[in-house]
Amino acid sequence: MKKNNHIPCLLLALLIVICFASPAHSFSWMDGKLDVRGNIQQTWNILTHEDWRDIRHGSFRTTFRTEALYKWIETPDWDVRFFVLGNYYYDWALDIDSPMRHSIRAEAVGRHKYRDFRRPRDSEEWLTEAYVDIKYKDWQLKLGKQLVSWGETADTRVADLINPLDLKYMIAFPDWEDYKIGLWMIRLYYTPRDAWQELAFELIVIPFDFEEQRMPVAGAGFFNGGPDMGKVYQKMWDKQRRDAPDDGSTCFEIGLRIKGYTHLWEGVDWAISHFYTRRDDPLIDGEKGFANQFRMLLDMPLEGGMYVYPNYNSTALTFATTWNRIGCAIYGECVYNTNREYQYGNVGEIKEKDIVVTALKLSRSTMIPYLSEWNRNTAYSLSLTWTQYYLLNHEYNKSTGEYIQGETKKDSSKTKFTATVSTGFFFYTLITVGNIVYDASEGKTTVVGSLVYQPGDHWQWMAAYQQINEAGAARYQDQVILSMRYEFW
Amino acid sequence: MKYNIMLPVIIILTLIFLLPVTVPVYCTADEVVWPVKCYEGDDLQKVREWEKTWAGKRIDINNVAGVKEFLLDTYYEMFTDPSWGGDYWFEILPYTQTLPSPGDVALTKKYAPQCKVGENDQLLNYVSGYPFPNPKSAIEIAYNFNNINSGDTMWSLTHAWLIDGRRKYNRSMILDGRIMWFSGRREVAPVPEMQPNTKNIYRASHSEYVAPASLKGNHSMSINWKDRTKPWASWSFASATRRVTRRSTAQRQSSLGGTDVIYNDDWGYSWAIPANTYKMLGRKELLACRHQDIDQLVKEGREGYCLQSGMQRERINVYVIEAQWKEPGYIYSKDVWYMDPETWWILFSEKYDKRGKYWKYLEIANYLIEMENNGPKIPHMGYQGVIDVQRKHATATPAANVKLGATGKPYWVPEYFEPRALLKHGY
Repeated sequence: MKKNNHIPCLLLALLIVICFASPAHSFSWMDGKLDVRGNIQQTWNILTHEDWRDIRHGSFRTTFRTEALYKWIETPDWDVRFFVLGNYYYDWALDIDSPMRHSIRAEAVGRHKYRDFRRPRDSEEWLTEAYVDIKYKDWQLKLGKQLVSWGETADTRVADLINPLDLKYMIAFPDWEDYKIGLWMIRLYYTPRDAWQELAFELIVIPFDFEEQRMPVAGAGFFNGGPDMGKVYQKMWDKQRRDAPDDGSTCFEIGLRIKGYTHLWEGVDWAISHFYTRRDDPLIDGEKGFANQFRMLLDMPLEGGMYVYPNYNSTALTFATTWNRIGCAIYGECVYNTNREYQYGNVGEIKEKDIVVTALKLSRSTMIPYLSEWNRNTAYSLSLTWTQYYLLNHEYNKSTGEYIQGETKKDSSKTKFTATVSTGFFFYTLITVGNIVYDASEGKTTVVGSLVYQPGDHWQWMAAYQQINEAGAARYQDQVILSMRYEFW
Repeated sequence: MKYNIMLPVIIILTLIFLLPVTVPVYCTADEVVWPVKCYEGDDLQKVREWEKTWAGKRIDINNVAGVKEFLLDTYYEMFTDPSWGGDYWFEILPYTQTLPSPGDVALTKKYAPQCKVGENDQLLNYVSGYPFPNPKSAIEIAYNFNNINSGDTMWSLTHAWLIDGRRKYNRSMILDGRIMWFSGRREVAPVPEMQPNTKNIYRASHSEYVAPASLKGNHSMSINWKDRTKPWASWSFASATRRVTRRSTAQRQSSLGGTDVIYNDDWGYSWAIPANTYKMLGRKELLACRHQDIDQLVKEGREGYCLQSGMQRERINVYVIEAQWKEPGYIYSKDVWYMDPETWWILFSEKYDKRGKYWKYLEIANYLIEMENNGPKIPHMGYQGVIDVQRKHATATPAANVKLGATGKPYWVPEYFEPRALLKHGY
């Protein structure tokens, strides 16, 4: 069977990497022109509450992550490099958790979905980046598959909405680059010398590539409310994928960002951007789509498409500065999404509304009395983020006093607070991170605590716990995550 | 009669001859007396006598007591305590004067007379060179250190060892760093300042982490301003998030990536001089590394051993200064610096925790580096060792490759030291 061939290959690769890894330097070949590094990670997600499916192991995954940088030309004026980042995994959970096999078979309607659970579907998912980077004087051109990070607040995606997400990678709290999906694009930078406010210009053109947000296979990991609902969800996700627009000129997206630095106050990094884009997560296509959804529930053949991925415009203003008197760094984003379509009301009607999302983050390294002193005067890093979401011109039933249900479910705004505390012990061989996300609109709290142990240059172990404090089925997502990682570099 | 006329003539001529010697040496630019040798006359002879016994000798646990008076007490205790290893060694070189570069001499003599310390301890009227070649106070010595000659551009590939003296193993960190001076330049045109320098930058640094893997690909940047009282601006680029993040100055009291060094410890002290009050504690003769063979240090480094063998020490009469942070709550209750009177480098630093207990021993080994493009040789740091005495842990950073005075694209241009360069060069 195919899966058995993977096992010896993976073990052999692991052995080669560990045996030949240099203790201090990355793999460097061709007189230092080719630089390779990466890691192998084994993660194990253990659900603390079993739902009716009796699944205990949400994931038992081996991930190979490799990146390579080749410096082809390096002269005073020209610099040309190639960069590749790949992220491939094999999930063994089906081999150790038979209830999950049954669950996927039942909800995803067939064993053919085992493959989708076990590994990335294709290179769209495992090849994250592959581009050529050409620098010439004040110009820079990046051509190829890339990840883009706009915005200042990394923990919430406000202005950072160019790359879609692959939620199948959302285990063990990976870095953003591990579960963003790369897009084929052209990126052109212009950084003129001696520019006023050190202006830098970035133009992004995505001429034809569209990737929809990826969802996990039904029956695994996420709890979808029961076997019947699970089947529906899988059908919906499969249909979302089929209805996604084909690569072509209709998927054209374009954006411009202007960054600058002003010497006002303590120096402010600012950026304004505009991006003409398309939703990565679909909407039901109005009455036609709703009717098809009804047919899907009744297991009837569908008539035509069911989902659409509409375009919209996103304009953002971001800034970052410091307030050294209180030892803070301050980050802010404000995004105005115009004509963004969303599902409205109870009959699948689509409305266009304008949405404003703001985020403000304060970050500070602080000494906690007694605790810091005991910990060899190590500071604690604390960050607080407030995210606010406004739906403008939200429709309101004047006679009943109720808001018409929309994307925010209840009313026209949504508020979220995030707090993160982290520090290191024993010369940062042991790192602790605590994170709380409070959704004020829904009264939901998600708490995550993790311990990372990295005694040397290569090995890293992590134990984490995630708890979603929400009534009902959310407790089935509570989990303990164990991770072991070996870095070769 | 002739005698009676000649006598006053002789007296007058003698006075005229003697007059320049008795005029104070600081009154005009042309009369800055510098460089000044550490040992001269009888003092030098005394040192040479002593060297007849000790120069060229290898010092280990068996004979270190003979030079104990020239070592800091804490270092002597660690050197002789078997729990720290017990088998270290160093060798003694004869004292050699370290001469400043011709650029240093010319610019110091030209601009030093106009420099002074203001009411708020700020440095006034500084252009280039050493501001106080004949210092009269501790803060003036501190400003000399703050204006060390580093060749106007500096590149170093620093390999840091994080040494756990209890568990006897090392972790490592490799940093590829570049610093460029925009003002206060001495050697590489344009001197003394880049034109234009509209942002009033004194110096800027741009570093990339090469190791460990968790930090590889990360960049950091700092800008110091000509107004030395103004807080530095800092940014970092994280490879994992592809994002440039602004950092606050509060982070400077934090440990640098698990090392024993905080951001303010680099080169002995790396922050604004006016942030401290200074007290002159006097002079002290110590054995310090001023002409060190850095390759020897790299070769003699041993995993799990906090002290460094292979150091090459020579006798030098250092200035001893105590620095105390002005605002309460600083990580160190005091910091004692031992400064080279010829090069103004901090050769040793003893740092005390908030309770006044001895915490860290810092030593810097200098050597002469020939500048690029046939420039002069100037003294520079080739090794910094910081030992956490309380926890038996150390961070040693031999600079494997140091280049001073390099020029040209793509790195030695102002654009490489702007925050937008972090995104341009980050992956």
